Amino acid sequence: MSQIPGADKYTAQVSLDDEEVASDVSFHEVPDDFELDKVTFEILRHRLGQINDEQGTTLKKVSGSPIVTDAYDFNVTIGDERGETVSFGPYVMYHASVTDLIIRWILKHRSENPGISEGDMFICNDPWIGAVHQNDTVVLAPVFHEGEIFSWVSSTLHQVDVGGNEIGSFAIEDDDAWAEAEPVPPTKLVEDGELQSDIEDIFLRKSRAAPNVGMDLRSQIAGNNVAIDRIKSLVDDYGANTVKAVMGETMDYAEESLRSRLRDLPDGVWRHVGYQDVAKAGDRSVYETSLEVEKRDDRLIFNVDGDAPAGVINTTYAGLRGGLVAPMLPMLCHDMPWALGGIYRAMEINTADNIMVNAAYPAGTGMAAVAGTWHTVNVSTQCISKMLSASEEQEEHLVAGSSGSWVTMNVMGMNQYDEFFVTQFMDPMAGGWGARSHSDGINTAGIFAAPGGAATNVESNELAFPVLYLYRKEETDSAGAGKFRGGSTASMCYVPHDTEGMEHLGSTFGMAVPTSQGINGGHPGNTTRYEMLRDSNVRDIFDSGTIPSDRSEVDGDLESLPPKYKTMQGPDDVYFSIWQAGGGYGDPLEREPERVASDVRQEYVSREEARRLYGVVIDDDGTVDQAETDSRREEIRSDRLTATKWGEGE
Amino acid sequence: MTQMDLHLAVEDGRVVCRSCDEDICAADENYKLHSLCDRKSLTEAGALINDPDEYVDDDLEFRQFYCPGCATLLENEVIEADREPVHDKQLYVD
Repeated sequence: MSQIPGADKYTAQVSLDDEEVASDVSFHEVPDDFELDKVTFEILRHRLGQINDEQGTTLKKVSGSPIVTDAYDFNVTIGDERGETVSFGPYVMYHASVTDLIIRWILKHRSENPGISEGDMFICNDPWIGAVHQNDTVVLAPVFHEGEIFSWVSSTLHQVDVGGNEIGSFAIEDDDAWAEAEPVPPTKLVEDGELQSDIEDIFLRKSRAAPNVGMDLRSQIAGNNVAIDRIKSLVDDYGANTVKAVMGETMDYAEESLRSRLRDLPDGVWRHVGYQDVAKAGDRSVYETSLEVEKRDDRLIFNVDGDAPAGVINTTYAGLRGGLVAPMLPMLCHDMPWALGGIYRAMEINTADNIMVNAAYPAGTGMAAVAGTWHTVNVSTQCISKMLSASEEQEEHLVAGSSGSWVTMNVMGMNQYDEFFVTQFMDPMAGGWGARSHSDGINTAGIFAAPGGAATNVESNELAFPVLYLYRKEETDSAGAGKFRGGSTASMCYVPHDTEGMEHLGSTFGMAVPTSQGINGGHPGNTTRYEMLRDSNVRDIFDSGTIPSDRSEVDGDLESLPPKYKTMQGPDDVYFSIWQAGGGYGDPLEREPERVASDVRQEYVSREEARRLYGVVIDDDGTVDQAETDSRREEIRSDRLTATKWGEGE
Repeated sequence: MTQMDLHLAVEDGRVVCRSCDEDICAADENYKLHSLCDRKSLTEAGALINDPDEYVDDDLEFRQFYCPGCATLLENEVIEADREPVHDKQLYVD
């Protein structure tokens, strides 16, 4: 979808007719009368998963980027001959949800010229064709068997900087793709097994971190090579038809398992309106998406509408679809193969054209993974969770809003080794997950759409970059209140170390509007914050032999930074950020008082909030004052009954 | 009785409270329009929730919907103040 004449070609390929593929390309297909025994199916589908796992491990071992090695902001896929996804890794889910779109595009637009041959790999970071955003570069490779395309493998990771106006390629002062890293449509990066240095140079030349990106590309190629080798060995051992039949059966199994689960849920419709705040630096508005998820028999129908694209907070169809399906996988599909090629068959997506979460070219999508797509995960999570809440059997699998936004912190400057550096802090991987119907959310669990994600070690950051942490810690009162509270988030606080300072670019949402929503009466988790304490006395505190454990212990000129900002951090400027906790589940007045007391003792909840939100009064010794608690809860219930119905008493 | 969520169910074409059996509305109606509603500032949702005025000019609010019978907190909503409550859950029950 494009607003630029002639650019419609660069559109995600949702479906593909074989007539659109060059006639000299042939696909390996299983004969209709081929029979696959169930034992072989079980063994080989797990073997494919293990190959996929080894593919991801290889990528991690080769990449030198903490974004990959520590925070696992990547994913790897194995697909069938037309790119339908059979398996992907437990990393960022929406990296894996787009590769079928790109492979279909390659088959349609690259099979004639330059052709698709054994030993080729294509690079793509074009969001309109399928990459979530330009940083999330995809390297895709066909796997051939006896001259036919047998399978596809892909590796995607967040490359720290791929060009454009701003650090980390997040053009927060602009409105469109012209200011961002230029999207690269599928291009042959590897031909006949040889990395094409001219193509690599085109890609690296744009980056502020070319050596890192060069290593990342090699890690992606290495991951793909391992997967190709292992798939070929599997074919040698079991035969092509058997392996291919396993791929097909895995997707059929996923589809039927999902449809069966849906049939067990009541028919109905669930809706949510969600927000992103601040579309670009200097903006002061919120932008909404409204999602309706209708469940009929064994199908889920997603109807999407919302505000027009704005600033840099948009995503394309690829990111929209990835954001919609991501919450389904852990909540609805937790006990079945995450074979997206099958799962997509039970979904129907109807979306308005050219909205924030289905933006036409050249809207700004350079931050899509942590803007429009993340926001889509939030609204989809609400609808899917509320749907599960209608089922006595399935409600235990719902999860309230989790880590409602990514708190981007890109920095660059000269490091402690007198070398230029640029990086993105991955600490916000320690956001909190939402509460469940039977238990509290997991504290600092991470990112709901990235189950394998992890926060970078403080020590790793201090080793690689010129920073000294004052602390990284869980934050009291961050979790959404509820019968079961959300998981708490953490915050970080650091000062430059062995450098004159660094340049900052920050970008998040969930600062004006909390976006980890609770359900069934659960409160939302906290909002995000960026703060800079200018010209602080932190060095004097260090000299006295003390390491501050909270930013309130440091004096300086407090500057509260907005959701999209650029600034400089001087050598004595202390930087702080807090991410989002999880939303709560159920009425806080129904939380067992002893659980509240335990939270107060462990500093997850303050005494003040225990009384105000939970109606639980805690004695000085940390125990529940039952009489005062009964009285306080009765007072809250009485207050509630003085409220009026919508439209009355106003 | 068909479970609609933690607090509500649909029975004989009506949305009812599972705690006190309060009859709230018809099954195809928005239960929020028939519940008691508190409209509060966002900051009341939690101690670490920012005042939105610091960052945006839009008028946002935190809504809480209670059962008229037993005062159970049925649902919360974070939304622009000029929007009607979202009909967020509806079962297709005969």
